[in-house]
Amino acid sequence: MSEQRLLDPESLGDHVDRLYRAAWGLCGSREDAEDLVQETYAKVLSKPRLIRNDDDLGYLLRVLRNTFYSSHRSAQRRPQTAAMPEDYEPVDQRPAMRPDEAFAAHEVFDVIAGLAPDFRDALVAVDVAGLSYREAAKLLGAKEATITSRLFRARGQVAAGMDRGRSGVLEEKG
Amino acid sequence: MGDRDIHPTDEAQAERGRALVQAAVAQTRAPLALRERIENDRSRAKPARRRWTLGGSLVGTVAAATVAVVLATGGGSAGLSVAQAANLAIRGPAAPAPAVDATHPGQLKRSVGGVTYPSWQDEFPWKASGARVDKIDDRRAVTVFYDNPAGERIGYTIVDGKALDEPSGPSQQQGAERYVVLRRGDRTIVTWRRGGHTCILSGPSKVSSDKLLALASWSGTETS
Repeated sequence: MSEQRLLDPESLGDHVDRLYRAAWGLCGSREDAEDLVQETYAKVLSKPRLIRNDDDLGYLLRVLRNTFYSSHRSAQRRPQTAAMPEDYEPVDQRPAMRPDEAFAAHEVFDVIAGLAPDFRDALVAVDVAGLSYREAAKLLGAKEATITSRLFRARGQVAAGMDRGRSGVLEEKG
Repeated sequence: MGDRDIHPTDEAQAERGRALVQAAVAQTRAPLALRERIENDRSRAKPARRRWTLGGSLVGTVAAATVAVVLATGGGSAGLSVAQAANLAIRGPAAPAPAVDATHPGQLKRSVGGVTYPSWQDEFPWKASGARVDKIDDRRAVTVFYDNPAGERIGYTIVDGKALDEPSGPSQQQGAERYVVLRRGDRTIVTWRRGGHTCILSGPSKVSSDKLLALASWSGTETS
């Protein structure tokens, strides 16, 4: 049986970047990704958590994904955000990248979020969050071969989606 | 299309997709504001730092415990509490900042129930940087965020509708308004009533209660 230990809250900050990227890939929106990551951390921090081995990231991604599916796809349960009046000024001016790069990254995450869920989840787990194929298979409840196949197809769809611009990728049912 | 229908001729395109994702991942880091919010949550999750205490020179153990109870329970009545509303400032902006009202430079083009948000940038080093609108417990709460050059961020929340129960405890009277200064974890909070609505100014503990009080009581903005 796998060894269990308590998740150390002090170490959770190490995974913020990966979780944020994964959340952006799921949500397709930076603002929603921020809320999703914060909600994930709030859930994890709400009580002591027992996890197996050193799989902090896998555990956090599982909570993130569950949170995304359980709440962030339900519009009624989202915080209601106001529309942007025309006279509003640009928001937070502290992007961590150059504007041209930010635009490209934004486009890529948009395309990822538009993929069919099976393909998107595989790509987010492996290419965005950095899990191994085995870890992704465990997270997503699929065989490694299935993850490999979905990942291959998802990558191709991202390239095609970027070629087509913002119209994105046609959904394929996996 | 099934998972097995992979065509070897698509390999180049898949590789290009992998490279695009890799580039996007390499460019993307979690925003500072998100890190701060998570750190705040993490700090509050520590049992020793979870209780409310009074801020500034008003510190007192017994009184702090009183305020802790009051804020945690929303002042003894049902519904939205000042504590809940104050938490909105930690979540960070979800929309751009309102513009400065050109005809009233001390105000932003945003108000709630007739209470206008101030533009402090001509008097203080705080500039509006974003906003968010939330609905909690069927109450609309609008928060405008202000940043200073040191990268500190405070949130000014106005709760629409009837004023919330006011936290009891030591307070400071300035003009016609009574300001209650509190500390929750590593946040300093000032709450008061204006135009019949509850206003809350919340910032990191590095921003002193005196500064928040000066901002809260600044008379450059008026009820419209």
